[in-house]
Amino acid sequence: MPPDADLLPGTLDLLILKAVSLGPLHGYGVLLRIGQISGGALNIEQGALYPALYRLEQQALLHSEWGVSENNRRAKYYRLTPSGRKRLRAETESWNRLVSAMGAALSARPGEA
Amino acid sequence: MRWPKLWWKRRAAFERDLADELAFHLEARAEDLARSGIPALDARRRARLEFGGLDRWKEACRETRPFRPLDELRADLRYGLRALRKSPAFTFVAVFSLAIGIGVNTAIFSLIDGLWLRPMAAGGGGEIVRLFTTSPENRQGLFSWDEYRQIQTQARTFSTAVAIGSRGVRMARPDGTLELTSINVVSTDFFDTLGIHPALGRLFSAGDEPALAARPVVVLGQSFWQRRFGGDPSIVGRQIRLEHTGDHLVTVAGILSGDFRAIDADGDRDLWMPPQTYAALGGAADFDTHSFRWFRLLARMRPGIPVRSAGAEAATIAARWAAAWPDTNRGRGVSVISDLEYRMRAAGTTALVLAGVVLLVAILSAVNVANLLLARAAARVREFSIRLAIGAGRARIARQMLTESALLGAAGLAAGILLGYAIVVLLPSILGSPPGYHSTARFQLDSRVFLFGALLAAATTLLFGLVPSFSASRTALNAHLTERSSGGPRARLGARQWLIAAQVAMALTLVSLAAVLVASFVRTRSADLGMARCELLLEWCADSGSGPAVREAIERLRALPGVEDVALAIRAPLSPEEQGTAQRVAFPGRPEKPGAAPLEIFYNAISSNYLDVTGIAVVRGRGFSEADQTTGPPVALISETMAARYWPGQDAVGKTIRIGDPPGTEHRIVGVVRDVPFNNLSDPPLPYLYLPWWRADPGEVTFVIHTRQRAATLAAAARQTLIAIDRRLDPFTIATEAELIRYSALQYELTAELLSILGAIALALTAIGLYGVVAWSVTRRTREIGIRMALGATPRQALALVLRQTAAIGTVGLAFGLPMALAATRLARSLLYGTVPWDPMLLALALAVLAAALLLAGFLPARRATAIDPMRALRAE
Repeated sequence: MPPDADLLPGTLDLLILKAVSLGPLHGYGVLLRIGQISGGALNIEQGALYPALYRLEQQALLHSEWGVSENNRRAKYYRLTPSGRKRLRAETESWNRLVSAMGAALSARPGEA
Repeated sequence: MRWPKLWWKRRAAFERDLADELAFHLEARAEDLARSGIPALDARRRARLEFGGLDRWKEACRETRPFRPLDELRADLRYGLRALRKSPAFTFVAVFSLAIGIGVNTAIFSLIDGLWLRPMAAGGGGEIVRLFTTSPENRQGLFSWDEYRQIQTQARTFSTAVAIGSRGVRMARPDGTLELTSINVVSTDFFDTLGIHPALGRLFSAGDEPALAARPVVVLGQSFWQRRFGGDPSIVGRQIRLEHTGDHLVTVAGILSGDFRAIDADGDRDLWMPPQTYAALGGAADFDTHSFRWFRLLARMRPGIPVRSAGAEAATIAARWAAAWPDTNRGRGVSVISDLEYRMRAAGTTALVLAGVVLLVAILSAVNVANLLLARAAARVREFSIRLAIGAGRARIARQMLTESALLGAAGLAAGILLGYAIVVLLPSILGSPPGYHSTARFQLDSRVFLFGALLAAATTLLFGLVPSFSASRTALNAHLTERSSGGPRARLGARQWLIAAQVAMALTLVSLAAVLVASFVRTRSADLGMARCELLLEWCADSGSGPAVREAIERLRALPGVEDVALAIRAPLSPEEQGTAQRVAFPGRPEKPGAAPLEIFYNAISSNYLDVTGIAVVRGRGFSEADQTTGPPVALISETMAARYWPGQDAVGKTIRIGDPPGTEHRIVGVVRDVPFNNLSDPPLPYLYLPWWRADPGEVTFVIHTRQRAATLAAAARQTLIAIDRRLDPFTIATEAELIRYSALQYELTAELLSILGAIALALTAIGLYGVVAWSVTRRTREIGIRMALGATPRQALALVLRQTAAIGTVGLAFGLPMALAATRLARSLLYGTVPWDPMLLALALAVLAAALLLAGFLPARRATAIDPMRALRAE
């Protein structure tokens, strides 16, 4: 399954974990929440969301159950499991390390090498 | 089987949830879009478009499932079934080929298993061995009761030894007439030692011995119980009247279980009794005579002791006997072999050749299917290219092919087992039983036979499934999308040609073998046996009764309509009795070598007209006269082989021999007669002796009745005549000499029939394979042939072009097949009667048959090449 062109590989999982960590969401809700927390800057292919959700659930990082949506329809809700929370923390840390390292590397000037 | 059901359920729930969840997403998105002012219909469409390919994402979701392999298998199976249904001709030929390979193999396996390999129904403990007395003439001799008792009490290497002696007694029917039954007299510890259990009642054991003497018991064989008493369980505990030289009421102790397979393939006896019962019926003398050997011996080794040391111990016992009873045991040894080895020896070349031949058929059918699958894979390259292009993995395609092969294998296995079962059901009627006896060979498809078939199917599936599977997965992604129908790697045809050539070689092997075996069978119909092939009815009475009764029987039998003449003998040539009786023979003036076994020569006692009735020619001297039967100096006739062995280069007529226990009575040889086969057509001629029946008074008699019409039609009338004279003259076996000859030749007939069928199958499979390859290559070369014809080639030249391929395949196949055929017929030489294995005429015939079949199979599709219209062929591209 090809990753979205606008997203770095592996980042979709991290975004989903983050979105769900703020409260239980159904799939469409995850999409909206990512759009909201990223200020609409990240473009996610809608269909790609579901294989990722299923995979995370399979890894026991997410838990799902059927509930009722805000407009009274049956919807499947995802929430973070304890191991999902742990993973989110670890991934966030390593992402931050990567970003600062990349930032430092990319901002290097000719004289500094 | 809980989890597959769980898997099915979970899978259905998964699909439902997935559909619901995505539907919710699309609806919610459409609502949001509608809220932003887009018309409802457009909003739905936009939502779908934004989402992307729904099925693609669903499939991606499914791939996350842990039971994914099972899901894929299910898809493969469905796809495979559809693919097979879409080409019924291919499926039929493939399944049919497999079914033949598997069916024939399971049937032959069950035959070999049933006749030779199935171990006795014996419980645990040490290995079972067989004991034989050995003399220069007989390596597998029997034991006397005396000898058995000695081995039982003296041998230390065995934990127990048991004896089995086959006899016949009469059983009284409710109406007072007598019925002859076959019995086994077995030592009392027989059943316990071999771990045999009753189906009903109880069997006797060594502990019963004190009671057995006072109260004789008998055990019924399963099939006799079914046949004679209709399986009535109340017979247990009742008494039946049995008669031998005396008669006695005997209690039925129990019924043998049906799955007990007797000691040998011919061991399904009517009654089983301890020695005490047989003695009560008047057979005591059969135990007392030290030299009367009629027991087979089986023993169980003490655990951990090798068969070799039992052999050494048996040799010392035999040496002790030779010293104690020089008259009867001089030069006689005792040998011990394991039961398995005995069975393997009995199976011999026939089993080996049969097994080899059916294995060849299995390979042939597997090659055929591999060929079909290769052709199919080649025809499906476009399909595979498309599947590769839209993202199927190569491994997945290979697996798909393997799944289809497995489906074919499963269908072939099912059809093959059915076919094998049909053959097994028909086998007993094909095999027949010795004339005058009940059929005793039993065959069944049990779990072992089934397992064998399943293993064979699995092996074939792997063999023929893997090759096309690999070649399919190697398909280049775009080659066949661009190349169209003329595409396809050249190498593929090469592989198929080699497969066909291999088939041709195997088919030639089988057809040659069939030709040689059929020729050998035909020989058994026409060969000179040393006697006339005329209508002879043989009624053998185990007890000849009194002289006047026999005389009266001859008169009354002669008076029956259609009877030419009636002669007397102990036995007729080819009687299925295991062994004839022998006489001690010594030559006056030639001292016996000290330590050498006493000379024993098989003999027959005959009436004076026996030689005329049977058509055995007198070579020198004369036959018996009526006077020889009663008065005058004792005389004897000898066979050509005996004359040649003991009086080489001399005239044996007029010489004297001593017959009987030393010193023996002097007999003058008055004539030399032709050799006739003794037990079997294939037996080498033996020294043989004839004595006058009336003087020898052998106690048993075969009435040899020469008839004008078919001998079998008189069987019942002759029996009634005999019973009316004396109840003891109720014949034990009734047969005709023609039946005996046919039965003796049965193994030749059977192998000839089997090989003819298998050879025909091999030929058909090969022809189908060749037809397929030639037809395929004509289709592929349509364009080439069209161009050639447009450039001026004649239809004949086009035909020659295609036939050249057939000729090349055929030549290679036959060249490889010839040495295989020679090796096979040589291996089978011991199965031949009066035929040499390398008969140039027969081999030429087999080659011609193969060549004709190949040319026909190649010509039919090749003819299509001549009908190619150059313009159409070119335009079609």
